[in-house]
Amino acid sequence: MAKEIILGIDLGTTNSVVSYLQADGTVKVIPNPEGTMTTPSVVAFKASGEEIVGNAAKRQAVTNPDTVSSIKRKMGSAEKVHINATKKDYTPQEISAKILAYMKKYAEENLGQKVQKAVITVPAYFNDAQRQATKDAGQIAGLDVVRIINEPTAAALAYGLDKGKSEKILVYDLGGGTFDVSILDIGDGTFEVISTAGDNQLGGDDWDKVVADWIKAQIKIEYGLDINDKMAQQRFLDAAEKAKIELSSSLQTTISLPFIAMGANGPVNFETTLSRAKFQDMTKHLLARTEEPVRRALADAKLSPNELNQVLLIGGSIRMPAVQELVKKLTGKTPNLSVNPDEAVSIGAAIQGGVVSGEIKDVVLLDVTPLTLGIETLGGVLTPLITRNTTIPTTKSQIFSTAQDNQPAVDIMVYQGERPMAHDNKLLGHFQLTGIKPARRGEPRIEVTFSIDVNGIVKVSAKDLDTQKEQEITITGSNGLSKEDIDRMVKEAEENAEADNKRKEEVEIKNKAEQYINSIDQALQEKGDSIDAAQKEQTQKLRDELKTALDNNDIETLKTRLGELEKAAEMMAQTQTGKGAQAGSTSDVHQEGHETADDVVDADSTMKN
Amino acid sequence: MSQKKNENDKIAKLNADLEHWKNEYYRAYADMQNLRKQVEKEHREAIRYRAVGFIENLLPILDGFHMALQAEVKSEEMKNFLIGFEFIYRNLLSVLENEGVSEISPKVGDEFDPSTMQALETIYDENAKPNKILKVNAKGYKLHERLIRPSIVVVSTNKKDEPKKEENNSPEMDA
Repeated sequence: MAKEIILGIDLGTTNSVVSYLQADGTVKVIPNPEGTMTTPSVVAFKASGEEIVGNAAKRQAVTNPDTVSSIKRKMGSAEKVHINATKKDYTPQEISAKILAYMKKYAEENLGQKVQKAVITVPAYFNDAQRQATKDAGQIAGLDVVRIINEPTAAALAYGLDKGKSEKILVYDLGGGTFDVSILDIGDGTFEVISTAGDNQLGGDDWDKVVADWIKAQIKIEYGLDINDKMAQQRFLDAAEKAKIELSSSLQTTISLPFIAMGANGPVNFETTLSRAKFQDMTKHLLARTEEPVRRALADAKLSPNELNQVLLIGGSIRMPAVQELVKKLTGKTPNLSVNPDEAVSIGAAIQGGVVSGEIKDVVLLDVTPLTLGIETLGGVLTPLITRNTTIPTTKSQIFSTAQDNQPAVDIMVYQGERPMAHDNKLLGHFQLTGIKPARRGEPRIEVTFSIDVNGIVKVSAKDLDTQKEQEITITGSNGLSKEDIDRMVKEAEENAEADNKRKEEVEIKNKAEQYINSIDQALQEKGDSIDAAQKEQTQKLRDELKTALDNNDIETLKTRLGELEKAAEMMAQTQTGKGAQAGSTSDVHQEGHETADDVVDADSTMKN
Repeated sequence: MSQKKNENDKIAKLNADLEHWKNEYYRAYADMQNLRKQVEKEHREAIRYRAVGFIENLLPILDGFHMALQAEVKSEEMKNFLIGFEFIYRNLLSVLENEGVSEISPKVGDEFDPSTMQALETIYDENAKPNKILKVNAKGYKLHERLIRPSIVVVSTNKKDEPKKEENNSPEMDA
């Protein structure tokens, strides 16, 4: 049975967003059928009785007088919208319901389950009638509106600002068509709106219009042409918006409009650069219009800017650097920008939905392993079994083998830490698996399993897959490390990363070299007669050079010789018939071989037994 | 008696506990399976539509080619240049087609369809059939089933009353 989902809906003036709380406590925004996260709050009616909502409704708006947009501005009023196509009057809540029903439908399609409940957001300044109308709209759409919450409160929730601390925050919301400022007093899970201010005729679209007009004026200066056709206007607006977006990340952008018109000498191709400074200069009057509401909201709340604990910026237009600078100048605070500004309100509504349903409380907070757990393998290398930040409980297995011929036992040394060489980490415990049948190195298959239960208790077992003999150890002290210890160990690993990796690489090269020498020796011994003399001699020579380099700890020579030897070993393996597969696996340098033959359990001490 | 009762209570409690944890256990599994299905679905979609942003950025370039090729030229030399550009344009289109991009190029006289077209303006003619395309200003494009950009068209109307003015009709604004 799937859990009940409560949608979080940001029912906006120009655009709306819907999201939901996932089982793991994170929020996901649901894309509409066209693949975008925001849906235009536009509804259209056709004579055929068909209703169109969202992007398609917006696209046909100029052809259809029965297209309704910005209905949010009329919520709570008695004013009705007359629709010619259906010869009916609709209340604002009925129109809003069409938007909500459309979002409910695509959310259900996306989630693959029915949805009945929602939390819907409203501006902080909405009065009771407006809130009730919003609730009614939900009901008409077939949604049980479990809560109506304020947009700035939702933003604060999205930023996780409900964790008991008492704070005063300012929310600056500059959307596509409206601007709102709110000041909230948060304390012990309660949110109180102390003041609100704004300008409901100011939004990001105004910035585009200024740039579009500037482009048009530039063309007039350059070509003496007054371009007024609708298509060109549309292209100016598109180019303006693109420039605006680019100037949020670069200091200069190129506006390029080929074939913008036909002049006396053929096509007119317009291109110009626009700097961020110039853009900010031509739009500064718009930015200035947001200053007064911020000051007013602070004055109404009887707060000075330095009494604010946090400043949140939401709405797509706050991506403009000039907006962020202004807010910083007005409040003296570096604004928090970590949540997607288009989605923050809807995300907060979904979180509120989780609080209402009790799901937030129910979220099982699973621990993660603070440090990597692994065993020591040939050459003192730490082979990780469970890597850092793995969510527990968890179980991981890997197959290892012996390092020497006829090795009777293996020592399993369990370490915790981030350093590649085992001895630089913390030894948690060790045990021995004995009774391994005499076999060539690399042949026995020993499965090592690490298991961490929900209480953080680590069990490590080793099983000889040939004899089914098993041995295990339980480690209880692995979580005894303090936060400081863990941080120190992670830091040390980072600091020593370069040197450690070099050491590890050297060991790996040496291990590999040793392995090749063994495998060549074996092949020469068994099948030496069937190999032609020249090839045999050449291989023998390479093998001896490798051995000398290995004895002299000459890593560079080892590296170069290994490449040559790899080829030779491959050829030898191919000439082997009966043992073909076996030799192939020991000389294999690919991942699979790496996990079986190459990662050989350290066996030096066991050999002395 | 009371000992028996205590034991029964204990058994009942243990049974309830067992039931509770069994439920939680299955739920965790079910959650994981559902999550995996959802992630797989999203992963497929993400791969299928990975090029959306890139293709969006290419559209103005396609438009440029399209507009250039509409030009009427008189000199033979220019004509030959245009033929060459036409080839380049078509090659570019076929590369995009192979990626799953399809053109939306409605014809004059077709019915206006808001699911793939953006109406730029309407032109009034008392005798005209309404809601027909009078002019195609820009082609639209789809990637697989998803609309990347609507075709921009001029639409006929036979009603005198002025359509309501929209604050903004730019199709790019939703992005």
